[in-house]
Amino acid sequence: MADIPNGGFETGTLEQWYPDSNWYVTDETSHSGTYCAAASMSGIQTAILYKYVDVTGISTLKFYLKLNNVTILGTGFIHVTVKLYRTDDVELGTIFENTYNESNMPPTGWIEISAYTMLHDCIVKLVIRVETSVDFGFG
Amino acid sequence: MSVIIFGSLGYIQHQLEHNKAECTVLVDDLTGIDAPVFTGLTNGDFETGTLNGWYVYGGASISTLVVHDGTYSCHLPSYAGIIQRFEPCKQIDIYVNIVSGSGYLTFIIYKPDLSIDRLFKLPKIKDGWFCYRINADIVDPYYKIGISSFNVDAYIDSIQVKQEHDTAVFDGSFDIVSWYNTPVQGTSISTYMPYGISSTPCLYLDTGDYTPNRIAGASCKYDMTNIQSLVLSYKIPQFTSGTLKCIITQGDITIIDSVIAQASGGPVDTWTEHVIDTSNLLGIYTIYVYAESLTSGTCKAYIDNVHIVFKPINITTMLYAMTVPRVLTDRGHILNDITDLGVPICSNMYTVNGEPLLSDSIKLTSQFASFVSRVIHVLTYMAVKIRRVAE
Repeated sequence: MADIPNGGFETGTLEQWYPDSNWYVTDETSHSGTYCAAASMSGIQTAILYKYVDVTGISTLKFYLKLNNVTILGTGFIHVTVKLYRTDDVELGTIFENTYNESNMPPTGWIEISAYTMLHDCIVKLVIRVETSVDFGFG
Repeated sequence: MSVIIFGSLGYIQHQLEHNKAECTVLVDDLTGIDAPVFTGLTNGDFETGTLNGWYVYGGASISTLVVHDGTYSCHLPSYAGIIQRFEPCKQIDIYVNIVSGSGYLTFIIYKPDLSIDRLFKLPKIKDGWFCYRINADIVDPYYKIGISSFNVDAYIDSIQVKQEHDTAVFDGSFDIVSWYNTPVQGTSISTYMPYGISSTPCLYLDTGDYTPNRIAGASCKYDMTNIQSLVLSYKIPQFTSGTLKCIITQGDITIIDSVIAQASGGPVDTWTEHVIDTSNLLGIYTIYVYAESLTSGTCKAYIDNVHIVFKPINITTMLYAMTVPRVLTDRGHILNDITDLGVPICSNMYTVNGEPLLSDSIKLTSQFASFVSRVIHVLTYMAVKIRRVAE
């Protein structure tokens, strides 16, 4: 298992990551260790967290994502995408994408998200994007 | 509950109160799994019965339906692809069977940072399996090869990387006619409109008047070692639907597929130069130049001034060029051994870095090359003698 600097947020900070203003570190819950990153979202909001990762010699990138305190009503939805980019922001591919709504609620536990990266012996940009919104076309 | 109906802000407020999404996102434990020790291209023949070793996207899948060798191949329906890292090598051979579709396969060599180093497009040029060869000359161990399909349904198999150029000569058990199953139309030598002020003839390719799927072509064999590029001039006075192409093959392997002009551009009334990069070629190849008509179209083209450009000159290149009889710069004989016509494509000279190496006034015939060779031999002999006397 290759160590990724502050990949588990165990410094208690978001150093080595690039968060927008929604993100913070919490010790209220975590997948392992003491800390994890969290963003509380409501209404029409987008939270983006990204990190540059040197994947030389790494075959797979893996992390865990969980949606807590979920409320989805009517045409509300939560859209989660995880993508890999080159450092010049050329998209390499989508690792994970799902839209959760009233009829497709997210799982209650941690979701394991992994990306095959053996091809990418270089630095890649891992971008986690979560959007909460309402479909104004209905309701 | 408040319900405010009037105005867009009221509408949004109503929406947010009855339709909402909220959550707390948690992210943790980003880790990497070590890659296995890289041992070179794996599962290139797909005989594991899986696509293990390949990064797969679109609908790429393993197949037993259309196979080149063994039991399995890789099926690439439209908009599917596979990528894998490969070891430094001189060339990559990929067996291809494009079953249907009007698009093409792409072969991409990626640099370590995943930017594109080279990209080749291959449309359906023949039925059944054939080998597509990429002269890669890769020295960096982190390059990747990607094969993907765009509007074609294709199979690939028997992918091999080779540490040396395969210079085996295939003498052409098939010719260009068999690719299209249509007869060669008018291919002749014309004196109607030669290139420049030359009075020599030029090659005339005539697909006939408004006849679909006809070709007119000529071919020759040529040693492309040390050749930077192949240059030809063309003129297409009548061009309604079709393609003027140059294909360079080695046996049944298409090495270069170069579209000179397509009908969408309309007639080309002035002589235009077309340059084909041949810097990766090594050994003897067959060069086809042909006009093809599509959907009742017409392509009537003239080819002239076919010549080669050497790689940046050094003494080895110079001596090689001078001592090999293939370099005959007599007008009209630079591309010898024309197979379809029995007569040469004409030419004026060849150049180095765009500058004439030998003008028409200097006829470097095989006799002259032989003379130079003898002079070098005598000089070498004298140098050895002088050294022995000195010792």
